[in-house]
Parts: sequence; C-alpha cells; structure tokens
Amino acid sequence: MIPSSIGMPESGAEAMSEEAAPPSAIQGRSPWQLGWARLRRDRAAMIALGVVVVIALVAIFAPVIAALTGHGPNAEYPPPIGTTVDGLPNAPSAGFLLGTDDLGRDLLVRIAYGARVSLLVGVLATLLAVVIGAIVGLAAGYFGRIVDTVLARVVDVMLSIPFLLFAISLASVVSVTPIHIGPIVLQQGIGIVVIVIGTFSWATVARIVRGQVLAIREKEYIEAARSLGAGSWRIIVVDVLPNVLAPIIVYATLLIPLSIVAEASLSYLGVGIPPPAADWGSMIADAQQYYQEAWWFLVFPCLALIITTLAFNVLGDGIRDAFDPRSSGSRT
Amino acid sequence: MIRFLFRRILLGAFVMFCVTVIVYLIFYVGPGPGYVARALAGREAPPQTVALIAHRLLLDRPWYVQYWHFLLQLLHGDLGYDYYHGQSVNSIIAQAFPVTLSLTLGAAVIWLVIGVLSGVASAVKPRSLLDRSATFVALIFYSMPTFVLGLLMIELLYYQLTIHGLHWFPGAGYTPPSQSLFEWFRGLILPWLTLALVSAAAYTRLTRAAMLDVLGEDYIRTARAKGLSESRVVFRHALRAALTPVVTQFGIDVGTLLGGAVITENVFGLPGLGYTAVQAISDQDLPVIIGVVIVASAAVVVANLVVDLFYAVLDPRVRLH
Repeated sequence: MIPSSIGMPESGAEAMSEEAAPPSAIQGRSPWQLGWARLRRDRAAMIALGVVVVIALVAIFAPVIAALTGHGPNAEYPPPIGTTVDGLPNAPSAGFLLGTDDLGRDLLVRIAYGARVSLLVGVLATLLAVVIGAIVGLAAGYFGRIVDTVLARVVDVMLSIPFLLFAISLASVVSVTPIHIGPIVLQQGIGIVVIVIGTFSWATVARIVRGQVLAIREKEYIEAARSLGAGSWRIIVVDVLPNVLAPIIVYATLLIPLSIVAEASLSYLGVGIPPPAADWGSMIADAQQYYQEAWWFLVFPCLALIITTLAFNVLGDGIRDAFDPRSSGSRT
Repeated sequence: MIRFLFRRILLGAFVMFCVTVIVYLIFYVGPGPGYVARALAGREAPPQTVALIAHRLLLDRPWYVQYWHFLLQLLHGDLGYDYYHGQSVNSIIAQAFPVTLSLTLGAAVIWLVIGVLSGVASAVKPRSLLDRSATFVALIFYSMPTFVLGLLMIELLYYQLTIHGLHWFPGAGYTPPSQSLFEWFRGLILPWLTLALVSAAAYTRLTRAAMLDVLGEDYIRTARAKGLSESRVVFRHALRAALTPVVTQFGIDVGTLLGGAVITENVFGLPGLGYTAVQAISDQDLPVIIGVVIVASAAVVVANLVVDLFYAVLDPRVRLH
C-alpha cells in the first residue's frame, strides 16, 4: 500500500522535502519521478509502451516503407500484379508482403499510412478534449456558484447527446455543402473528424477536473496566494493547474484509444476520412465485401487497429496505477 | 420526492431543447442561406421539390420564425417529411425502431449478466488466476472496436461454419418476430453477442472496481463477523451497494443504443435506426437523419430519467440533493 500523500503533487514535493529530515541520506524525488519508477516496474505497461513507440515509428516513417517497397500509398497496380485477373485482391507475396486490396494497392504501405491518420486524430482529438475540458473544469470548480451551475448543465447536455448520430449529422450536411461558421469552413477530412471527436469527449475531462479543483480550492496556499493579491486566473494557472495535472494526464492516455476507435468507426461508416486516403476504418469497410476471397485484406487492418488500441489501453492502465494510485483501477 | 422528480424532468426538457437548437444550427444554418432547402431535398431533387421545401419550412422568414415553426412541429410529434422517399419520417422511424429495440434489449440482458458476474468473480478473489484472465479478456474486448468484433463473428461463426455445412446463423438481415419467432431469434444471436461482448467488458471493469471498494467497507466485515455465508455477503450486502455505478452506466448505454446501435446494425445489415441514418447519408436524405437524432436524444433523456427514478425509489439519500 502506497501512502496516499505521495500520489498527488499538491502534498508531494514540498511536504516531502520537509519530512526528509536527514537530507544526506534520503534523496528527494518528485512525484513524477516516483510515478515513473512505479511505471517502469510494470512489465505489461512497458511492453505496451514499446508497442506504441513502434506504431509511432511506423507512422512517422511510412514514406520510408513506401520507398523501400517501391509502392506509393495510393498507387493502383493493374492485374495480374495488383489484383488477380478477376479483379480480386492478391494474397501476400514477396512483392506485396501483406497482399493487396481490391484496387491493387499495397496493403502494407496503406496500413503504415493509416497509422498516421489514427495516431494524428487520436492525439489531436484528445488534446482538444483535454484543453476544453480542463478550462471548463477549472473554471467551474474554482469560481463555483453560477459559473459552476451553468457549466454543469452544459456538461450534462454534452453527455446526453448521442455522439455517433451527431457526427453523422455533421458529415451528412458536409457531404452536400461545406458548413461555414464565420471564417471557419468545415469540409470532409481530418479537421472535422478531430473537431467532432474532441467536442464530444471533453465533458468527462471537465467533470474529473472540476472534482479535483473543488478539493484544492479550499487549501491554505490558495488562500495565501489570494491574500497576496494574485488574480483568479493566475491562481488557477500557477497554483491549481499543476495539482490537477496527474488525473488529466491519466485520463488523456485512456482517451487516446477511445478517440482512435471513434475515428475508425466514423471512417468505417463512411463519414470520416474521405477516400482515397489510407485509413484503417475505411480499409476494413472495403475489405468486408471480400472476407470470403481475401482474408488478409480484412485481417491485417483489423489487427493493426486492435494492437494499437490494446497497447494504449494497457499503457493507460499502467500510467493510472503509477501516477494516480488513489483512483482504483484494474489492478488494485 | 415530487420536487426531485420535477427537477429531473425539467433538466430532461432542457437537454431536449438544446438538442433541437443544435439540430437547427447544423441542418438549417450550417449549409448557409440558399442551400438549406437543397440540402434537405435529397439527392438529385427536382427544383420544384426544393422550392416546395423552402416554402413549407418558411425558409424565407427570419431565423426565429423558422426555429419556432420547427419546434412547434416537433412538439406536435411530427418529425418531418422525407422528400427522397416520399414518406413521413415518423413512419420510417416506426419501421426501424422495433429492430433497434430487439437488438438492444437482447444484448443488454447478455452483457449485464456476463459483465456483472465476471466482475464479481474477479473482485471476490483479486489477483487470482480467474481475476487475471477475466481482466485480460475484458481488456481485449474493451479495446476491440465493435465493427472489428462483428466482422470476426461473421467470418468465423457465419462464413466458416457455413462453408463447412453448418447453417447455424444467417449472415445478415432481420426477420420480424411476427413472421417467425425462431428466425428472429436466430438472426439476432450474432449481433447480440457482438454488442454484448463489447459492452460487457466495460461492465466487468466497472463491477470489479466498485466491488473491490465495497468489499473493503466495515459493514462487510460486520456481516462476515455475524456469521453470514460468503455468498450472502457478496450478493446481498456487497453487490447491492456496488451496483450503483453499474446502473447509471446501464441506463446511459441502453438509452444511447435505443437511438440506434449504429455500428452493429450496419455490420449485420439490420434495418434499425442507426442503419437507416447511415443509409440516409448516401441518399443525402437529411430529414431522416434529423428524425433519428431527435428520437435518439429523447431515448437518452428518458433512460436517464428512468435511472434517476430507480435511484430515488432504491436509495432515499438521492432525493436530498
């Protein structure tokens, strides 16, 4: 059992250095260092971290993979090289390590490029959700009263709206004509997918942050800062934010796989990233018509998606256990 | 009690109001002036239809008149007219809803049983082999997108069985129970399992965490000290308290799915609300999508109300705040 005071930065750094009476013997370690040390002992989380790094490298070096195979991500090879003479995908071979798709494109190269879309949307949508959620949560928790009431209702509304159907709504309008919001023009593509997923994910972040802020707001050092004449936003940014960073980071790592699945689901339904861009969700949608003739076309993109989300989930669980020991998780 | 209920109903009405505003913004403002009627008319609509829509929806009037007209129609239970199919949206939704209902309720029973039982089994003996395997399996299904699991089901349990001569499950489609109860059941087994397994994983994790918290409480120790049997302690004393977060999640999930189990319906070609909405995209048949969104949001609001009501009856403390 870990003493609960270590988990939170608020009581961590300052309190620890005071308590560490013989400074020569005990080296002061920040809560982040302690968390990292705990994380490094978690074998499953470290394997997952390795997998995530490999996927990120594949995404970054997708053009290198394309150059090595000599196949561009959207290059369609005519039969019999790209497809069979009947127009069916070709099985994995020396030329195409993971086989080809229905249009005679290299699956390996497309999966590598698909990793770019998945990771980019996963990370950007999560960032958007965390930024909005943190601002709303900090404001609601710190200011309280009417601000809190209004923001709490907004969060309630966001959580009661069926995400996929609203994403479909936006996509359906955008497929007819671009949406103009002042100077912003929404068109099919990565941008709108990030905005849609981010918009529908921040409410949970806001709830978590608000709860943490409520506990911190009444601490003495906040009162001290206030009596020294610090402004509200200065207190929020300098004194409150660093102390709610741990739960934010923990939730963000668990939000990335959810965002990746959301992006793949939208693209699977045909309302995400438009073709011909390589994307795991739309590849799986195309492949489902060929599951009888070409298993590789369906199986490899599915595997890529499952491995990615599983790795992020295992890593997220590990980070939660390491940095936020008080939130009871899968391993207690 | 009455005050509590009144406040929850008011909140529900407020949520529905916000939904109509968002829908109005997306569909009536988003396309930009001059394109709204075009967007609502459906693919390749003749100019007469477009003009008719502009006239019927008062598109030449100011926004507040338009919105009021839109809201008033909804309050009368009129979800609009599908110009692409020449049918009222109400009748399209009435056809699709029983499919979604069959899918959701069947799956809900399965995932609740699997999720809660495996969660309890894990929590009773934490760190045991059973716990570790249950947690691991739950994590895999939790990480698996619904459509991936659905397609795996089709490949393994439909295609592989069928080519080996076992015609256990149909590949896709829906048979109404009025036509054949057996075919209805047979056709829904794979979709039920898909939806249930993906959802059950979250319930395993939720139940396990809640049970671990509750099992550490003093009153559990007291119950054991009184000499109650372990199964009575676990199921009567602990599970009852641990079910609170599970019930909340269950209400939200069932509500959301009643508005269309979008992915599962599309993988298995079940013509429910979610399938209808996705089909409507390629026909650019926007009035249907508006109708589904409104019905789906209403389903979530009603489900939340039912959960609140359930708590208020079950746990008197809830009524106080």
